[in-house]
Order: sequence, then structure tokens, then C-alpha cells
Amino acid sequence: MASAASSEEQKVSPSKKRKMKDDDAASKASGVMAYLQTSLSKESLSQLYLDPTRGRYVCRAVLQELPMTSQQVVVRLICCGGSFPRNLVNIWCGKKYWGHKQIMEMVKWAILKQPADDDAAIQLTDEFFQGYKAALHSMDTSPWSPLTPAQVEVMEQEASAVEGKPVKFPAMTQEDLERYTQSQWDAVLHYLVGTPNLDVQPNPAISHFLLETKLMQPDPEYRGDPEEAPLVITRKGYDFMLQDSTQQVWHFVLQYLQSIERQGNEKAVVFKREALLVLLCLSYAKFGECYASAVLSKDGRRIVRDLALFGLLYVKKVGKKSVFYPTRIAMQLVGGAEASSSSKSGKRGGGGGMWSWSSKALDSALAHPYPSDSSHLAIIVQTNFQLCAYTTSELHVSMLGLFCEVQTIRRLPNVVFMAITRDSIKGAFALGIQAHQILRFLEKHVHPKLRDNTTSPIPSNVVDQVYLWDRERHRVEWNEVFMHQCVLDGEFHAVQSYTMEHQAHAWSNAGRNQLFIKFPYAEQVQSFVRKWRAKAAAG
Amino acid sequence: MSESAEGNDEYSHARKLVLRAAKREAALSKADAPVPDGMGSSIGADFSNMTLKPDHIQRPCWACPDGNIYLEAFHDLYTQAYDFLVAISEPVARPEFIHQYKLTPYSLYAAVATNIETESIIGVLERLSKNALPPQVKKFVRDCTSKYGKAKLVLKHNKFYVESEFPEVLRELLRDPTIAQARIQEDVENVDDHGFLTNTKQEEMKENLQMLREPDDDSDDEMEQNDKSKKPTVVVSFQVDGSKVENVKRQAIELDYPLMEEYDFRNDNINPNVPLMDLKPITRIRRYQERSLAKMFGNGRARSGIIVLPCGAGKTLTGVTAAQTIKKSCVCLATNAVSVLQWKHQFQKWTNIPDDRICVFTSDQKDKIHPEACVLVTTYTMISYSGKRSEQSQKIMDQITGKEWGLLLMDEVHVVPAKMFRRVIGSVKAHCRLGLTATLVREDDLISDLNFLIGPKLYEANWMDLTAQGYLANVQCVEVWCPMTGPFMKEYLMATNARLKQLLYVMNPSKLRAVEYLVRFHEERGDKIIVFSDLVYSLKLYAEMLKKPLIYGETPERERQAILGTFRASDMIRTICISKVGDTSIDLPEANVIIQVSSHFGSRRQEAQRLGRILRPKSYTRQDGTNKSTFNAFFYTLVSSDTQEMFYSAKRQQYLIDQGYTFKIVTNLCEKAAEAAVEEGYSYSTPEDDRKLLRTVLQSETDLEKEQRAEDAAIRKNNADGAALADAGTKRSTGATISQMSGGSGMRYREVNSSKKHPLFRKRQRR
Repeated sequence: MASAASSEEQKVSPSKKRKMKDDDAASKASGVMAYLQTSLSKESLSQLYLDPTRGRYVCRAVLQELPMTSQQVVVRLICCGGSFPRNLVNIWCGKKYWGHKQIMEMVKWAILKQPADDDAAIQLTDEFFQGYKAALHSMDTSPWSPLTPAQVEVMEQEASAVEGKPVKFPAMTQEDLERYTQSQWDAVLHYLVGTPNLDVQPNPAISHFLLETKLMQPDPEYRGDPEEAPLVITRKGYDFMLQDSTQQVWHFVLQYLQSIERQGNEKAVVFKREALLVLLCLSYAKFGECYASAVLSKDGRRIVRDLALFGLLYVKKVGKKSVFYPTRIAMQLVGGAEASSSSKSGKRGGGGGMWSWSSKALDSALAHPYPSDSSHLAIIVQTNFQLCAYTTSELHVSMLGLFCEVQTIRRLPNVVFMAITRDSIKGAFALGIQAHQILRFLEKHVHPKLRDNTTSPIPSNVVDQVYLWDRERHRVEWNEVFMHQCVLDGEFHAVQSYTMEHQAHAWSNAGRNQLFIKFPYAEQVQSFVRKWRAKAAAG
Repeated sequence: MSESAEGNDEYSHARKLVLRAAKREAALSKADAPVPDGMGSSIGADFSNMTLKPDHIQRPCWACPDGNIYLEAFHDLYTQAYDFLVAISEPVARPEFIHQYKLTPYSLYAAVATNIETESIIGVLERLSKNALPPQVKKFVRDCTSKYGKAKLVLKHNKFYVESEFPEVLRELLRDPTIAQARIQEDVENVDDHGFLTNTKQEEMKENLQMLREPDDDSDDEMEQNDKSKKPTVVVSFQVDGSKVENVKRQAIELDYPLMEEYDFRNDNINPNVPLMDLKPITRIRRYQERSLAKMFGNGRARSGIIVLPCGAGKTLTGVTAAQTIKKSCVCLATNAVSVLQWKHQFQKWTNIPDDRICVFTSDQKDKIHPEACVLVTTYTMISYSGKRSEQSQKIMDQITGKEWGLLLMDEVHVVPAKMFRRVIGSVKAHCRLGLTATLVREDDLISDLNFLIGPKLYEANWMDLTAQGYLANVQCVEVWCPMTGPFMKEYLMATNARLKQLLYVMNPSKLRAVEYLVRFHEERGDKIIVFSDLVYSLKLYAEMLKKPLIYGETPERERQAILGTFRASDMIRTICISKVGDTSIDLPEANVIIQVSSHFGSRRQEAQRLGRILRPKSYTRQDGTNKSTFNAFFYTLVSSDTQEMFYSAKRQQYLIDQGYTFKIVTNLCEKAAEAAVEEGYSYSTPEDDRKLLRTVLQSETDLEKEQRAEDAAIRKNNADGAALADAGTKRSTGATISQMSGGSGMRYREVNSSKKHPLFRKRQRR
């Protein structure tokens, strides 16, 4: 097929590009594990492994991060007492799968001791050895056990006794939790985009965070006391808005960890370790189950309260005791890399970030868009560049307005129609939003009716066109140059070869003896010219 | 000339109605469409405060106060809703998932004309709508339909009757002295107290009203039917004097009760039937053709109107079937001599009509008109020619004007220039008019006139549905971007003459190479290819390069037929180059690839017409519903990137995009073509060839002008469509807005002033 043949190739280029970008995103991958690997010292890691009750879960989680061969090696080493000769370990695996690279990776994780030389025995660190041994010995699957109905009843009774009136336990379904996360998180984003008349006001700590992370900045045009200047969204903020929600949340959590770090004292170090442990343990918790805060340490309880600010956890007091529900988004924080690839899996299962709701929740939200849960979003992009979004939320309208033509908007009770135009997309580019971000955003929020399609839910002509518009931006490149007019042919050749050698050459016109020199090199070349002329005059 | 005066008269009536309709429409769109704050004048609107019904998810559409209706095409009730919405509103865009429709006065007139009552329009719309039906919409529907369609002018037993279901309407009409004067009192039995004749109403076909019924009351269907047969609706009527019919019609328009004309052909025993005009048993009518005809003959009489079917979907057969249903004398108007022959051929192919009863009247062939009933096939130009005619043709012309025709069948009705149209209507006295077209779009506003000159739009098919069912080939539309080569771009940028600019981007060497590449590729696959170019000069060059036959305005008819015949019948010719004479009515069922090299600025219609050349289903088109998954025809548009062509091409595609087509953009084909050019030795492969080409192009400016003018003249002479196109070219300087001329309201490249302020830029107080 002619056009298929020709178009196939055409298709490759954008998708290749997309893949590249995805990898790019993965390299910036977010998540607790990535944080452990890149930002923690080996000593801090070892400390985590050593934690008496939760170290084993850390070890398990870390082991899962390794490639299969390395996992094998670790388990065998544990059975062998923690150390084994290098050449024999090599025989276990074969050269292809096991070598210096894998060893260094495990050293970095503080799993192996740094080998003295190439022939030294492979040796597990004591901390990991102990930690993982504990993991093998224990039968628990979860660090915390959820409350049983009987326990709940007891709590209710106790609370009623204290309060002097019957107290109902705050039962939350999975959908309730998702809605809760959504509303909390939306409050943050609403604040970021400046929706007037918010129902849910975010905690002041959050606006502090927004400023801290440079997602917002004091209005530079504000005349008056700089302390009083209103906050405006930054370019980074626009970029942030269209990100994967998991990434967005991680962004905040990271900021949280860093702010603890900045205190710098001994107490902060302990506190941060506790925070990491809580985050790791959360990944072993069950979604939709309730846990008593009593399972946590004092620091742990503070951390849980802080995380609840972002809607990561749902905390509730029952009488004097408090309970908490982990949310889906909190549990996904550990596997950040996984979340960044969820644009692929999201299409199938609707998993991934919190906006891609479980299809059941989304379906019911579409059926009852009012009044409580107004934050669902289901998008249909049509071949005529019309975008149709099932939403009632101002936030989503504002977000779509980033790359859709605002003037074409038609709002109906539960749906919004907008057009994607060249101008609107270019406007988004000017704000620093990437083509692939726009498309990923659209793909992620696609209407459930389109999900079961095997093909891409966004029409291919729209995808191609967006990439073509993106490409248009790079057609003209602006370079600062310095034009040098040579008098003599000899001078031209000499200067040309000189500039070529020093990578200072931008363009030259032999007919007119004109040379265009990259601007940073202008002076250097000028001095060469002076020298050459002096030499020519002398010679 | 009295005949054209009569045409003019009718035309001015139509204008009057159009203006009235426009006023109503304007009132609706003004009807509080609240503009979202801070966005100034925009096409957007905020209807978010409409009330959503609690069970909205079970209903398929939204109705906005400004008359726009959106329909979820993936909804369970889609088919029912679609039939209904198409009957009462104008489709604006029909892509795969959400369709947009708009209520217009015309669409509502059409609905009433096909016997859908005001209250049932409102009722069904209320039932389908997710939101409570806005009062503005109800008012609009009532306004538009209160008077229109209430009274009909029926020709029965060769007497004219004004007929209505509502006696008060007749009384109001009779209050007018002119009408009262024209009334003929009859002395018959079935008269009521007011002296009106009473009759039982001609029931509308069940099928046509199916969509109005509640989806869940199938069970008591039969009972309802029984009820109806017991209490048939009564219609009242009075007879008017045949010679004063025109006065009555005019006066009725003045009173804003435009009379809809119906022709009770079964009870017409004065005009003889064409003998033996029956469909042959082999003729099979497809469902959508049947639906469109059902609309026309819904109550056993013939209604005037327009039927819109995509190119290649069998418009001709629909026309032939309509003609054979009426069985009276029929004038069939086509755009050029080629299609006249095709129409004649189709009449003979599908019906048993005797050879002497079908006659052709063109500049080349002037058959004798049978004194009794017959079918006459001719062109618009022949009928509307106002200069001096030869003796022979004058004689035929006199016969035509002197005769009473049953049906006036008009092919490609959208292309006929207004002036020509008036003359045609003045010359042919027909009881019923049927217009056929594929694309009811025009860059001027004749379309609304057609609603009153011919009649309302009776039926419009959905392109995508027909494609999915395999009645149309599934076309892959490709836009190939050809970068301008350096020297051409330089000349293009420096050129001041628009013609020269156009020539430069049409003759862009990378385009030449791309064409040769595509032609070679598709010929190897065994495809049949049409290369289209509007610019005759470049067409000649392309034909020369490809060594393929060409057809343009000045090609003699005989040679034209010979080339087309060979192309159809054998593999000797696999590729032909055609100028805009081939845009319409040339039936080439075998062609499945179109390469469009140059085109008429931003004409949406031309794009759709050209696509129509390859839409006819191929032998391998599957009709089991899987057609949509594979492409079996290709429509390439070559565009020189970074030139005006890009802009025009975006405009041109709008109509097809609204029908749900997508255009794939290919940017790397030219590179491949350039490689192949060197390897396989194309005509233009080296930079030296390019330079030579540029030199010839620059020198040939005057030749070009001359040839183009000759082409326009030649086309105007024997092709109404061409004339419209040629006229559009000159109209540009005087004509309305550029956007109208260049193809309208496309969204993709809409120009906007960038002073708007995004809500995101609003400032917020720090807490």
C-alpha cells in the first residue's frame, strides 16, 4: 500500500520521538526507590536495612528493584552465609548477565561490600544480610495489619464511652478515597491556576510549598512591598500542571523530604529515616483498608498527618484514637518509574495516576456529575480537531485552556467543547508545555467509551499535526554571529580554515569574501586576523 | 422575455422567504447566548447553567438555546436519534464520536414538509435531550413551523387545490382578496360548513414517522395503528383557478403561508404516462436510496425537494427511480454533455424505457421530442442559453417551454449559477422538482435560495455510515508536503504577480517528482489514477512528463470520449490527467487514486467533488461492515510547503473533515521521490532540470494567462459547473468576504487577535 508504506515511516518519526521523550521522563523518574538510590548515602541505606521491625520490608523492596539475575545472586549468597568466591558466582550466572556493572549497582544499594579487587569474594553487607534474613524468616506480608471488624467495633464502643454519645466509624470505600484524594489534590491545583471562589482551601503549608518549588512566584510586576506581592504561576508551574499526577505528588513529597533535610540536626536525620520507612511501608498496605495510627511511632504519626495535607492519606479521629486509610496514590509513590510508564498501561486498565480513575468510579461520576464529585474528566478528541471534555470542573476548563482555543469554548452542563488550533497549541508551547505532555494528558483522560479501542484513542491526524506544529518551532534557529569582511582572498582562506579548526565557523560566502563567525569566538578570531594581517604586511 | 420574467418573479419570492428565515435565525442565535466573561466577542458560549436531567446518561444529545444540538454517536439510541435529527436539523459536523447539528429555519421547514408536526418535534427533542429543552428552542421551533407547511398546493385531477389540516388557515388565506378571487366554488357532496372540501388525509408512510415513536412502545404499535385507521385525520381544501395559481402562490408568501407544492401524480390523468418506464427486475435499490425516496413520496404524492447523497453513492439511480415512480414526462438536467450521455445510459440500464421515449438535447445531438410523454436529458446551458439559437434547437426549445412536465430532475444542483437557475425554472413548467447533489455547500448563499426555489432538503446521508456499510470506497486522504526547491522559493518570494506565484508553487520540481513517484508506484500496484490540475499550463506539462493523455476544456468531445473509454475498458491507459472539467459528472468507476496537483483556491466543494470521483465502491469493497478497517482508495493532495497552498488546502479540507474524513500529512515522500528520481531516471531529476524548468516557467507567463482564459471560456461554453467555478474566480474582487470565498469557517487555522487574556494569568493573593 503506497500511502501506508509512506505513511508508516512518517508515523515512526513522531512515535520514535515520543518514545525518546518517555525515556527522558523515566530518567527523571520519581518515586521513593529512585530517591533511595540516587539521594541517599550508603550509610543511610544501611540504617534503613537495620530497622528492627521494618528493615525487612525495605530489603524486600530494594531486592525487587534489582534485575532478576542479581536477585538470584543475592538470595543464593544469603543461603551461603553472605559471601562466596567471585569466580564461582560468575559460573552461576554466565558472563552475559553478571559482571562488573551489576556488582557496582549492588554496591551502590549497599547490598554488597565494595570488593577490594577483581578476584575478591562477593560479600553481602552485614546490614542487608541481616535485614533480608529477617525477611526470609518472617511470614508477614504487611508491616501493619488492617483493623478487623471486631477491632472496629471495640473502637466505636470506646469512643462512644468517651464522647458520651454513639460514634460511628468513618467507613470509606475505594471510590470515596479516590474522591477524597481528588478533592484535596484539586484544591492544590486550583490554587496553582488561581480559580476564584474555591470550596476547599488548601493548607497554608501548601502555598509555601508552591513557592518553594518555584511552581509559583511573587508577581514580578507588583509594585509595593515584595512580601505582599500576589503569587503567579511560573513556566515550571504550567509544565507541572500537565504532568502525571503521580509525578506531581512525588514532587511535593520530595520537597517535604528536602525540607526536613535542611534542618540539618540529628533529630531531623532520625525523622527523615522514619518518613522513608513510613512511605515504604505504605506500599505494603492494602488500598481501601483501615489502619490504626497506633501501629506508628510518634514521629510516624506526625508524618501521616503531614501527608494527609496533600490528600495522600485519609486520617480520622475516632474518639481519642485515630485511624488512617492509605490512598492509591500514596501506595504508588514507591514505584515511581512504573507510574511514568503508566501512559501505556493506563490505556488498558485505567490504572496509573489518580486522574485516570478506576473505570467504575469514572462511570458513576459521568452519570452523576453533580454535585459532590465535580472533578472527573473524560476527553474525546475528534478528527476535526474538536475536543469534547466531560467535566464540570473549572480547573479542567482552565487546564484545557492551556492548549485549546479559549474563544471557541462552548460550555454545556456536563460537557465542554473546545477546538485545538495551531495558535492554541503554539500558545501552549510558548508557555513551555511540550507536545508530548499535551498528548499524554489527552490520552490519560480519554473517555471510557474509547478506551477499549485497540488503536490510539487520539486520532492519528491530530497527533501528527501536533508534532508537526511542534516541529515548526525548530525550523528557524537564531544564532548570534559576527560578520567579518575580508579584503584579500588569502585572508579569507586563512581565517576560514582558522575558524573551522576552532569550531567558530557559522557560514561563509566565498564570492563576497564574507565570513560569519559564532559570536563568542568573535574576539578570538579578530585577534587572529590582526596577527595574520600584520604577518601579511610584514611578509 | 416573459419566461425569464416569470423566473425572476419566483426568484424574488424565494429571496423574500430567505430573508425572513435569516431574521428568525438571527433572533435565535442572539437569544441570550451568554458570553463567558473576559472573552469579548467570541463564537463560544456558556450554557453550563442549563438543567441536566437526572437520567441524562440514557439520553443521547444536548440541545443548546442557540439551536445547536450535539449527539453522542456511541450512544445506544444513536440510530434513532440520528434519523430524527437529520430530519429536523442541519448536520454541521459528523466525525466519529460527537456529531453537531443545528436547527435552522430551512431544516425545520423541511421537517414540516415531510409531515412531522411541530409538537412532535418538540416532544421528541425533549425526550432525546440530556438537558431540559431550553424555552428558546421551543419558541424557535414553533415560530418557524407555525405557518410554514400548514397549507399545501396540490395538483390533483389537474385541478389546483389549496389544502390544509387546519380550516382556520384556509379561512385566513381566503380573507385575502386575491386568493378569494381565485377560488372556484364547487358543487360536490363532501363540503363542510365553510364550503371547504373535506377529505381524509393522505397518511404519511409508517417508516418515515418511526423515529418519532417512543422507543419502548413497540408493543402497542398495532393498537395505535388501528386507532388511526378508525379516526383518519380530515383535511380541508378549496379549489383555485389554474390560471391564477401564480397569484395565489405569491399572495400566500406575502401572508407568510408559503404553499408547499405536492403533485398527486397518480390522479393526474391529463398528462400521459411514459409507457413501459419500469425498473428492470435486476435493479436493486439500497436502503438509503429507499429512505430518501420514501421522504419524497411519503404520502403517495410527489414533493419537491433536494436529496443529498455523497458522490458515488448512486444519485443517478435515485433520480431514475424517482422519475419512474412518477412516470410522467421528465426533464433531466445535467452539467455537461458527458454526463448527459451517462444519464441516458443509466435510464436505459435501469428501466425498460423505449429508445424513442428518451431524447437528448445537447449542442451535438438534438433528438426529436416525442409528442406524448418522454424523458428529455439535456444540460443547464442548453435550456438557459439566452442568445440566438439555431432553427432546429429553437424549435425544440419551444416544445420544451410549451409542454407540461411531470418532473424536473436537476443533477449537481449546487453548481448552477443563480442567473442560469432562474431561466431554467422559467422555461420548464414542471409539477415537481427534484434536486440531486453531493455537497450542499457553496461559497455564496445560493443554498438558502434553493430551499425555496426547489424545495426543502428531503434527505442527507452520512458519509461515514455509508463507508462503513461498504457503499462507498474507504478513502485514505493524504496531504503530501512538497518543499519548494531553493530557486523556486526565491522566485516565489520575489514574485508580485499572483498568477506567477501560483504557477511557481504548482510547478515546484519536488511536486513533479512526487507525482511521478506516486504514479509509478500505483500503476505498478494496478491502480487507476486521475491527476487533477486546475492550471492548464501545468496540466500540459505534467501530462508531457508522465506521457499520459490529458483532458481539458478544449479537448474535442470525440477525443474525450475515446480517452475515457479506453481508461474505463482497458489497461492500456492507467493514468489520465484532467483539468477542472473532470470535477463533476465524469463517471470513472475504475479509478481509485487521485493525485491533486493544483486546485481552485479554498473551494471546499471542489475538494469533495474530486474525492467523489473515487468514492464509487470497488469490486473488492466489502459490504459486511468491515470496510472501514482497510483503505482501498487514495486521495493525494500535493501541497508546496510554506506557500499559500498550505492555507488553501486547510480551508478546502474543512467540508470533508466535517463529514468525518481525516487527512494524513506526509512530509517525507518528496525525499523518497527525489532518491527514486535519480535512481530510475525521472524526467526531472537533476538540479539542471529544475533550473531549465524554472526558466521556462518564468518565460511562459503570458502563454499561461492566455491558456487559462481559453480554458475558462471553453468550460463556460459547455459545462455549467465550470462556469460557476470560473465565475467564482472573477467574483473574488467584488464578492463578499475572503473567508466566504476561500472556504469559510474552518477552525484549524482560524485567525484570532491575541489580545485575549487567559484566565490563568489572573493574579492571586498570597496567603
